[in-house]
Amino acid sequence: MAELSLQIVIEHDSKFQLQVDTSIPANQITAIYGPSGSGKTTLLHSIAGLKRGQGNSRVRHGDSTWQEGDYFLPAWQRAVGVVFQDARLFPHLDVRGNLLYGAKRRGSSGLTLDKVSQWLELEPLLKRSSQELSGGQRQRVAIGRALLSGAELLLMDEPLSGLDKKAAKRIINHLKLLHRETGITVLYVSHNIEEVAQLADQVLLLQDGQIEAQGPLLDLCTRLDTSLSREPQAGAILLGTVSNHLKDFDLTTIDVEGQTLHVGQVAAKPGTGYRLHIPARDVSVCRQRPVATSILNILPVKLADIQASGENRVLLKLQLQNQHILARITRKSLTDLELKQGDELYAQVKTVALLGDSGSHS
Amino acid sequence: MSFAPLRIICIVASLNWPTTVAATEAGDHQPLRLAVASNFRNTIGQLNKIFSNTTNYPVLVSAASTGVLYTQITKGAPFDLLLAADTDAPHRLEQAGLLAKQGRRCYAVGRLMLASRHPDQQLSTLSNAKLSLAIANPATAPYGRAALSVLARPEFSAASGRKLVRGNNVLQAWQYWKSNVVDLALVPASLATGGIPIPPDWHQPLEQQAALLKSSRHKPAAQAYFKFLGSNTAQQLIQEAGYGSCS
Amino acid sequence: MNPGELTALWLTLHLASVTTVLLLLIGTPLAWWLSRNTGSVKALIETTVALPLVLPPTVLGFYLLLMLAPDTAIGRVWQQLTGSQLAFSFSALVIGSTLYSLPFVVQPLQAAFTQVPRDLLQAAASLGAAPLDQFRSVVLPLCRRSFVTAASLGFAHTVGEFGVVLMIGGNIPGETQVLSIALYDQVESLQFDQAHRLAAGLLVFSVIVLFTLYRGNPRRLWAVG
Repeated sequence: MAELSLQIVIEHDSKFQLQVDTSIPANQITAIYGPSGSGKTTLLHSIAGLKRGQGNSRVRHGDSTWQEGDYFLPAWQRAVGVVFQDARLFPHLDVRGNLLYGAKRRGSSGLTLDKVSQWLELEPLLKRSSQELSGGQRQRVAIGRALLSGAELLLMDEPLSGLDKKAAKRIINHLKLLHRETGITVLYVSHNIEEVAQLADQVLLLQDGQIEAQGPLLDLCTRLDTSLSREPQAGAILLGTVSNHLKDFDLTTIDVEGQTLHVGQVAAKPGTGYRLHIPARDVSVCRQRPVATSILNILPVKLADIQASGENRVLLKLQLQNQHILARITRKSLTDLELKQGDELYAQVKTVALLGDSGSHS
Repeated sequence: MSFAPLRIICIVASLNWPTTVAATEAGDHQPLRLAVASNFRNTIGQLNKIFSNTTNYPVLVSAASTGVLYTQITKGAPFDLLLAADTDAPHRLEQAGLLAKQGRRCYAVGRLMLASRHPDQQLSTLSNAKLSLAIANPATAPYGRAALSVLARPEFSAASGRKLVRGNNVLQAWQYWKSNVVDLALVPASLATGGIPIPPDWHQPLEQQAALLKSSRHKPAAQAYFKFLGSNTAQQLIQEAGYGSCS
Repeated sequence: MNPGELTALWLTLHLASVTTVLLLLIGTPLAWWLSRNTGSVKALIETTVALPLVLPPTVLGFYLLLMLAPDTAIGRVWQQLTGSQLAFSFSALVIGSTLYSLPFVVQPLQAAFTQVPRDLLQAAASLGAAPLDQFRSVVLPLCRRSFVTAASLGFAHTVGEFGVVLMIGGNIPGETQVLSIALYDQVESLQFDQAHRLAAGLLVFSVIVLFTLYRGNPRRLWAVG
């Protein structure tokens, strides 16, 4: 599979709608994250061939040039599958007809209808009219349809917006499964940090049509200088391994960099890799290891960086061996504790959100 | 399946294209094409029966108003003869060089009749302003113009405020009267056989002329018909239908 | 029905069928173009298409006659290509009927095409469908009902046509005397009984045709038009 190289400029009313120059790695899920109006959809449509970059724009996918100078390959000739925000199923075709629409035109590059229906749990729906489906079902069909269209690149434009939490969670699990099975390159546009946190390997931050930052999710989450860190939900994402189940207390322990974290019980075998999200506002620090405390998760960390965050708060970047945690405390506490870079501290973690199976097993 | 009727339409459409007016074919059985003014339409049928019986030429009739026929002929309509409702159209065709030599002759003279249901079967009812009257459109029909001449006479001036209905053509004017929409009608004698005759000197003569077209593809037959129109048999039939004789 | 009437009936059906097929072939791309464009050129074309709705048929027929006569460029070219005259032929009737019934086919189709969401066509493009493919696989099925409507309107309108056909056809029995003119002819020659019969027959026939077309045309919830 091939790397995607982008140099796209799109102007509107002498204002930049989009101005990017970057490349997207193959075989990974890259999230495109940003507020509304930041150009995420424009970027996606330019890659898909539904919108044309101006000036010297260039789009290349591996060895194929999709746009360069006057040359422009239209959408139907690019090996991209697009999942739109509103599913856009064809009303005159049943689910099966929709799924096979792209396959009939570009071939399905090895994937079969049976396999994809199985992955997305669409088997009981195949004969149904596309009008009779719920929101979640329609999006699953849209995903299956895009996947079966011979796509080497899957573009998803906020596919979970408008879905209830349960349906969204289900689809996220499906997407993880799909990505594991096919290894297809995915570009996932979202303004929901939780979705990004659960799915992405790489993140591209867009702000006013420009790339603010780009890199692996884990790194970007703990950077203090990006708009991500200013989100209320900001926090570190950690990778750990399931170690034990404490059946008496309905808890599971997860090993992260040699330390033990207690989380709500998960149905995963010991050795399974797991992604965890620790919101910065749920982390406090102390100079001494607390004793006789109700908080189970206490980690020895080193203070790596400090950044102002709002009027009366600061954001701390805490190093835990090879990974990092973020903590948000008051400026007053910072002064009272005389915290400075390099200090050896203890982080108390009140909430660990489980993001799910990270896909790796040891 | 809703597309089935469309398929039927397509099949019908693709069948043999009707032949257009073919190039001249030799042969006596090519029909003779007559362009006939609408007001003469019902008389021509009887004439043609006689003609076809005696000469073996089949005859086709295309009827329309004289104006339409004239326009069509100047644009190449494939007629052999024109039986007009006036003398104007044949005259103009002659001036345009579209007629055969000496190809114009009178074939009938129209007679105006007053159709009336009034117990007083008199021409004086035309001075009764309470009675509505239908005439053919004077702008297009000679009979209409003749009717106007009649109505303009001083003895009928009392009724000039009457309700005057103009039919599209003579037939329509007569239909208005027949279906009781109007009380009176000034129409050709060929239509209103039971009416009161109007003295011919009350209006311009309603001479109807036939024109032999130079572009006729069937000259012998056309000439035969042209001559036939002046024959005693034809003239007798025409006069029985309510027309006057030419001369 | 006597042979003359049968011929007129056959001519009418043939004329209406040919005109309908021709109008669908010409009208579909025209309606599609109109539905996807804006501006003064589009407005001009829309106006031209709608003209037959406003002009009296006799006027239309008159101008057509002027344009197709043997002494015009079009008439001469036709004569050279086919060896026979255009005016007063069945072909002239087809041309006249096509122009006269044009708005009845183009307008319903244009209305339907406009309602097809562009989003769906974008989705189709992203799945490998080129523009013509998009039209065939998405627009056509969604607008099926409108096609039936347009075809039936065009057909019915042509069957009832009089003024244009009379002027451009010359009312020649067996060649250009269609049913509506045969009726007129019978009335003119005072054959009222026959005229009644013919008119009744025409009415019944039209009702059957239209009823069949509309009945077999169910409205689906998602269909357009």
